[in-house]
Amino acid sequence: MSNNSSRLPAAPVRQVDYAQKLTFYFEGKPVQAFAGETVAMALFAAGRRIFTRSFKYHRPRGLLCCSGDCPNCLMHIDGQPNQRACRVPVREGLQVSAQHAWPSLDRDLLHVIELFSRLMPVGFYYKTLYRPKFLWKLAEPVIRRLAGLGRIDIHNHGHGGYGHSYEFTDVTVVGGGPAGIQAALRAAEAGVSVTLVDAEEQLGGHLCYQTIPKSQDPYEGMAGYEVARNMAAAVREQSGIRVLSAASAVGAYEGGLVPILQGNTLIHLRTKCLIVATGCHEYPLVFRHNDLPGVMLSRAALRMINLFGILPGRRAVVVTANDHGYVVALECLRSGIDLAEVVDARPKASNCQEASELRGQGVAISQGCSIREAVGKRSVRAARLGLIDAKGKPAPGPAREIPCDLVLLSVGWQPAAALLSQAGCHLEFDSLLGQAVPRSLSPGVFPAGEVMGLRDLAHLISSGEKAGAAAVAFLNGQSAGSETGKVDDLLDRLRRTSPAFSISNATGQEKNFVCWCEDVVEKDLKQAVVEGYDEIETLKRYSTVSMGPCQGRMCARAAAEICAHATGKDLRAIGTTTSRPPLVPVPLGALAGEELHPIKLSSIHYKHAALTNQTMNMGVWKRPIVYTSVPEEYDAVRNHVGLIDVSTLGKLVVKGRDAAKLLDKVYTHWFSTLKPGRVRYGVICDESGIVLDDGTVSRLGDDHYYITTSTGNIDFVEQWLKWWAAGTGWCVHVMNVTAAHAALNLAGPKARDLLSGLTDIDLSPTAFPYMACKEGRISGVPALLLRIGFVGETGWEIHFPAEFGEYLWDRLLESGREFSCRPFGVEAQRLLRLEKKHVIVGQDTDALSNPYEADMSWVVKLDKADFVGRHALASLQGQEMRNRLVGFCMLDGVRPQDGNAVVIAGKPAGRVTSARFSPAQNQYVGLAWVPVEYAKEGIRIQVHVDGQLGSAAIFEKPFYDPDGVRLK
Amino acid sequence: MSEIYKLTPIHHWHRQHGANFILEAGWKRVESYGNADEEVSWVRTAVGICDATPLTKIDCQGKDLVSFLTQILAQVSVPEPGRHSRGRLWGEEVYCEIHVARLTAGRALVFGAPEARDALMARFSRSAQGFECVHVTDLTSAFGAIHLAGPRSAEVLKTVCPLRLDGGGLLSGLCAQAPVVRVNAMVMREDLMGLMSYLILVSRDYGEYVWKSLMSVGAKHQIRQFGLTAERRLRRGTTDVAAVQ
Amino acid sequence: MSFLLKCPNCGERSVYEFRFGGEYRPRPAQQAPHPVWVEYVYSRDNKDGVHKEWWYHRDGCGAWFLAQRDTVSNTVLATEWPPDLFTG
Repeated sequence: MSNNSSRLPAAPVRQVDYAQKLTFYFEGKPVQAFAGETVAMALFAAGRRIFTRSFKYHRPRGLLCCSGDCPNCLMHIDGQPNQRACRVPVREGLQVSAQHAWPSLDRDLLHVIELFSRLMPVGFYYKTLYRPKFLWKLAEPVIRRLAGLGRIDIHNHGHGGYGHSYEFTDVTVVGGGPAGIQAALRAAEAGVSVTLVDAEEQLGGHLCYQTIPKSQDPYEGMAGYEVARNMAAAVREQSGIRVLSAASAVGAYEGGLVPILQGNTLIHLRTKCLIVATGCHEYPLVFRHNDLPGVMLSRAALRMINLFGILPGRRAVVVTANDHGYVVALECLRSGIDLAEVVDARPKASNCQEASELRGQGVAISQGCSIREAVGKRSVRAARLGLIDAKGKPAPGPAREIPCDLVLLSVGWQPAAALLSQAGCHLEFDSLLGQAVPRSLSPGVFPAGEVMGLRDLAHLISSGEKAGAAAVAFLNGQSAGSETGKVDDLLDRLRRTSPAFSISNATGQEKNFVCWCEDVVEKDLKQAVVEGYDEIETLKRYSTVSMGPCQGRMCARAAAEICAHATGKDLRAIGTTTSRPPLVPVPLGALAGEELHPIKLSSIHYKHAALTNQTMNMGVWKRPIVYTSVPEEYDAVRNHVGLIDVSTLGKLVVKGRDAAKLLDKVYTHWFSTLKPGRVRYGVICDESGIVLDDGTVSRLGDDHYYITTSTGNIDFVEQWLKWWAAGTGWCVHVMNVTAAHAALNLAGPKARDLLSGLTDIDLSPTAFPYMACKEGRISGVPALLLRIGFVGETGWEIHFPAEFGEYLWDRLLESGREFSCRPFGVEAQRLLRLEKKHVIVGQDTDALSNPYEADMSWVVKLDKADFVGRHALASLQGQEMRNRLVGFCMLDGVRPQDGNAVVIAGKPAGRVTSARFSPAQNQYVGLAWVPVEYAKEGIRIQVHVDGQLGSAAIFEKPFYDPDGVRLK
Repeated sequence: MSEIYKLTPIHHWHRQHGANFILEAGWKRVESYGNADEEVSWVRTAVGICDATPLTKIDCQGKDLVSFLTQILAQVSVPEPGRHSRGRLWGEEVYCEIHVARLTAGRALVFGAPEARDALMARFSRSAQGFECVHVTDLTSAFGAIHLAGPRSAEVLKTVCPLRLDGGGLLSGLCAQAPVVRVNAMVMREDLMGLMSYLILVSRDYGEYVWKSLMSVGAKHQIRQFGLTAERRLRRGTTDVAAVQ
Repeated sequence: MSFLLKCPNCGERSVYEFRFGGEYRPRPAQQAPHPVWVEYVYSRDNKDGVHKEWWYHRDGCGAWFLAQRDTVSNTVLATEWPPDLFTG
């Protein structure tokens, strides 16, 4: 390993700030770096060549793409696994460590696994550990330790700081290279709003790391990075362009949704038009030991040299099949790298300007030649070269070995077209262009630049211009939009003048890696095809090629070629695998966004909180379970008076001339016959006769009803009522006023005495009978009083404006002191209502319960001509019931619980829905569903509790005050 | 017996954050959290949040909404759906400023000063009786109202509300119903003397949650709470409900 | 799923603001034969193609409306108030 790879001198092209030194830590040891460098660059400059160990065989791996595409630099950075070290900027004090190597990257003992590679064929796990089944159980923990990518630190809860943002734009351009910039400029000039998204800090794409002057107008004589800066300046000066830099598009979804990940923020970007100028990925070549550190993609070398001033090696062989290879070679040469040879696979010599200059400098250039093998153990020591034929296949002839420490590959491109595919565009392989290109486009989606198969700067800019114009035309409603964006003439010229030359990736060698992520070699793919996985999508799933972190960016082309070779089809017939979102790794925290957990608080919440910390979550609400103890609270209600906050009850106001009509339609009971000032219990069923909700309905005026629903059902009931009103043309309005009213239930034999001291309302049984309602003032607070009896005692439900919540709570408790009034919680309430056998819909009923079986047949009024569920209930009425909800009383000391099974004649026959100890019966009592033939007074059943059977008897009447005298 | 008082759903948060309370129309309101001058300048340069719950809010809906409002709002045109405007209410015994937000074709929320609540309701109910299908309901208690103001208020709001807030979206004079911090809300933009400002109405029981959530997502924009004194100073010069009090 | 629905009150919004209310189907009269009711209560067309269906703007105005949606592409062709409904 060479440790003296020093940094190049400063230059205008660099993105490094040499004035600002930073220190970070790798495996606990300090590493010196400069601001603007990435972790990988600083580590490389410090002499590191092995960055990861491969997934399966633990082979040493070095930098390959330097652009965040390949898996070769995944590290544990700042507490987060699987960070691409080539993308993470260095920060002072950053903690970096290797993953997936033991004991260290440089001496990874797990490398011995490769010795057994012959025993680990493709589909190893499917084949080997399938039977016997216990083997997988034994092997799994071992395999999980050896394999896998990174380790999640469960004690590290992340940085937090995740968030969302909602943005809207007319045109979104993804990719800030020359094509994308030009498209953005063109669209913004037309006055539409543009969002330009780019993964880098600086706009300009690949131009940013090119220093060779261009020969084309209008940039004649300017280096690529200067062109980039000019164009970026033009973007800054153009109004209407919003640049999202260091940001990545996550995918393209319906409705023009293009989520963008920028740092810890997920931007929900809605766009009317999408311009995809995402460029191409360079793909590597398949040859023996092509994964050795020192084998690198050409653009990676350009980034290192020019952006970071770091030499990727000292002596290089450039392997190419296009003119870009000469650009790279010249850049290397100018930066001081010893250029051993340029190996051009094409039979004919190139006449590009860079080739001439290289020849002039005496650089060895060989035609019709390619690399066969990289030689070396831990990094490249030499390249073994050999002839290839006109079809790109190895030709017979001896190989020659050229000593070098760097092999740069510039052999071809595959489009970064995932956004296009997700947006519904179809791509097809074009052999003359050497890549897949868009064939059909979706409305409002336009490609631009390299992704279309173009290469020359002038062409890229021209296609950007056209895409921008096409987007504007589309926004103006001109259907010709997609025509405007076409660059067929440019592509045709390209096909004619410089058809692509591809070096075959099917070489028949060993240790030639197709997939860096999952260690898949050519042989594995061929074997998989032999085993019948001869279609690219199944081949992918079986071999796992393209399923790793690179998501096919490195391997898709080679895999397709090898599949084509093995099946005798051409690349067009093979097609490509689907690229699904997300296109970049998205932390779950970013998807979740800011931690927002909606909580509803009763207006009396803080009074409860001062008295008890025993609360329960009821949907979005918090309710006190118990204040002191259930027996004390029970005693208060039964013998004195108790107060419970029932503000969580759903509350609806229904107003309008046709309000009665709507309620008659939706509830099983009559409500048009209800007199103002009266309250009636109501049940809502669906059309199949199933009980959906229950509650009280009070008539406050001829066209004014006040409804309560169960806590969790309010949204449903509101929507249900509105749905049945929709399209009727009735004058009726449903308003959810749950939050507007606090509600307190004051109940017990002393409730009347207590309340009468606070109000002028006549509370006497004759003036204010059971199931009546009145409006008036309590302690000066305007209130609606409902005389109902959920807990089975004389009592009032007091509904009043929520802003008085704390005030009235205090008044009632203060005045209640002389009557031994206590606040009571949900638990006491449940016991009190159970003694009365008052059903809780959803607790005692389920999705199969109809009113007959739930013992509520009295609420079903079949004399109404129509109501929701009437047909089903009328049909059911004639049929025999199967089960019934009944009360039971235990006969022994066994303590039943909600949900216990009812056992009859040794078989499970029903279930307990609610059970509590009843002080009134001095025994455990409950409600249970039992077969109808057993639902008769006194019949013995059994309840299965934690492995033991308790005896119980059916109890038809309420457990407490069966005749309801206390409510009168 | 202690005097009757009304609390907003955010009262306890205010208490824990050093609020000076005053009693207005029976409501315990935040006068300031210490220094109203600082609160004003903070809102003018960054972003601030204020509890506006006591505003009177009257829901009007029905087929005859437009003719009803036309009758009530003498000399002021009824805002189109999605718009809000200020006007005056004429009547024998009531003369006050009101603010009408037309939520949909058939529904409007009318805002008024806290102390005008009973008079407004009486006036509205009486007028509604002359129409076939208009219903008025006092929803003052149903909503927590939060005033988000300052040049950075849109930056805060757009992190928790999927409405388009920039050009082509919710500009001053417009109102919309949409989720804010994941719960139902009515959002109304009304700039104060050129200062960007939103009124956000949420179900009262979510009031504290929404307030705390806005404080939390607004932290990176240096959001701060402000009281009634600062609010009135920011409004000074505008015709406004609060200033009439 | 991220398509947009145009609420007749509030305009175009993300589908996440809405509750799906099922296929739009005429309700039989009470006197309709039992099999017709069984069909209404328990069967759905569930076709691949353009559906007329109910949507409720849960996170917005709280109104029910009808949408014509292609269930294959999630393209919403039109939204409208149910027939006879007062459009407010």
